[in-house]
Amino acid sequence: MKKTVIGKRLTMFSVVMPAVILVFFLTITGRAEEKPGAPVPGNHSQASPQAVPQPTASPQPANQPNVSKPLSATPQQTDNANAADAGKETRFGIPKFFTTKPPLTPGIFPCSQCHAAMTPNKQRRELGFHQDVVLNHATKQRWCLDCHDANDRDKLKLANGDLIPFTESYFLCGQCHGNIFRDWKTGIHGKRIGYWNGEKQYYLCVNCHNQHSPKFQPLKPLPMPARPHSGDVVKGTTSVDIEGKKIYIPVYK
Amino acid sequence: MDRRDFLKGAAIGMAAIAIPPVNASASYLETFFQKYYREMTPEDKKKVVERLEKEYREKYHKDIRVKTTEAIPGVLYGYGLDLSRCIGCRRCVYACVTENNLSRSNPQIQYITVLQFKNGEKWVTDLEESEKYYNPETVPAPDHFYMPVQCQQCEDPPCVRVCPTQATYKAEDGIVVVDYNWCIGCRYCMAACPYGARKFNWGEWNVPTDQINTNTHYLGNRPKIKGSVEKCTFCIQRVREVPGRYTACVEICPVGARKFGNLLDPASEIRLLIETKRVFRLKEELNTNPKFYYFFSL
Repeated sequence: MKKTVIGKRLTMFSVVMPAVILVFFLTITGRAEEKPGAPVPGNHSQASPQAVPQPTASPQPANQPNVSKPLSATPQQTDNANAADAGKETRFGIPKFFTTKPPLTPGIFPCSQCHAAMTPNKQRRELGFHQDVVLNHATKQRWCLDCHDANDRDKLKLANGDLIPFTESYFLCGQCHGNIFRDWKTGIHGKRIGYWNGEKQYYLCVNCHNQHSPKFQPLKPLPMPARPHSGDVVKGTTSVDIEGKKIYIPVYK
Repeated sequence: MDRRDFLKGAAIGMAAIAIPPVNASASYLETFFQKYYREMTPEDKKKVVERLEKEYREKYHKDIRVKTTEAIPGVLYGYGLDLSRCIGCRRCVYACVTENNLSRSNPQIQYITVLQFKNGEKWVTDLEESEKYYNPETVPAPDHFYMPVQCQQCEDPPCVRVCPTQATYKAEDGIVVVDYNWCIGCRYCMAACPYGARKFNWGEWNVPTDQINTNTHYLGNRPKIKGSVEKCTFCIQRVREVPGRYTACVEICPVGARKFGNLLDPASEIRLLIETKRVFRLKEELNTNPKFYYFFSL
């Protein structure tokens, strides 16, 4: 008698519980569906705008990004004179803030000082002058006069024959390195110094890369950190100068 | 001894402890009774800054400016690091040491750790395999690549959760800061941090006087207190300004691998790289939600 009662209860339990669980889950999922914009914890999908953390206590919620809004070039970021043609095809034009100068060899520019009196020799050859220039940049398909204009040596020549000044050499580089050029304009490629929310210096391609041999040369690393439990191993400090900035490095015993 | 005598003795003993030492200055008492930074009124902050600046002048014979600049509204700082570009030259490590007045020895403190990995070996899943003490003639060493690690400025920072005094907290602009005067040196935060980003002042702060950066922030690079924890603050003394400079590590990087900006500004380089590049964040599975994005431009 007793056994059958328990048996009945168990049967009822086994029938009722899944139903309860089902209802519970439906309620939860129903709730989740009501809030489609709710962030899913743990879902940090790569490169997704949702991955940008929202401020928990932002004083100005109106400033939060509207991710669906198409990005447009802000007038502050484009130089209208230069970007007229470049800006059309991309979201961003040439950044306005760079003030860096191309590293022209002192005393050698303008090139017309010497070249005005010379007749252009378009023959590919070992140069008698400019021996410091080592071309290691797609040498098979390139020679001096592909980039330097044969008739106006103070200018660079684009593939379409347009002449550009040395200060705008990025147009020349951008002919082949289009994706890098695009990243450089947005600030992803290259180096910026100055103020993150104000005027900044934007390095030109040629400030970091040697245009004739653009691959970076290996560098000597600065000292490694002191090993733990190594006692008092730092003898003192010394300074090194990096791009005009003095930084202090340890000297180990 | 009966109970009454014991209590009397104990009371006298307690009173003796409470009386400050003979050479105690007003400054000592003020330091001892200083309030929690987040609860200070602007007047309180002004007073504290005056006291600190006076102390530093007496101690280091140098005018060290201590700022208490507040967060800029509508700004959430984010950082990008291009692993395709980093060559492991450690310029960033020492630019940071110089900018942030980090102790040079006993113990040496550095906010940035550059890890070296061998191509094809275990990597982000096992940082223990990395080499921190690499020292070749030139970098990048063949068949190796590099990943600098510093404070990831988590949106859900485990270090903040464990701090028993709330000395460390996440500011409105997303920077995780430490009130060094409120830190009791329990080092729970160091145990909680999955990135090894926090450093402890086991000894007295030591930076040669002529090398001190005098532009400091209360929550940033001011002279540190022995027994307090410190960490990267995205150069709070630089970035919390209008206009604010880039961090020291961004400005020194010879390959332009380091990016910095406002995550709430859709046109900032940090937002653009998150949207267009392959991005990952270190130890995402821990749900710390870092604002430090590693990316690959190549």
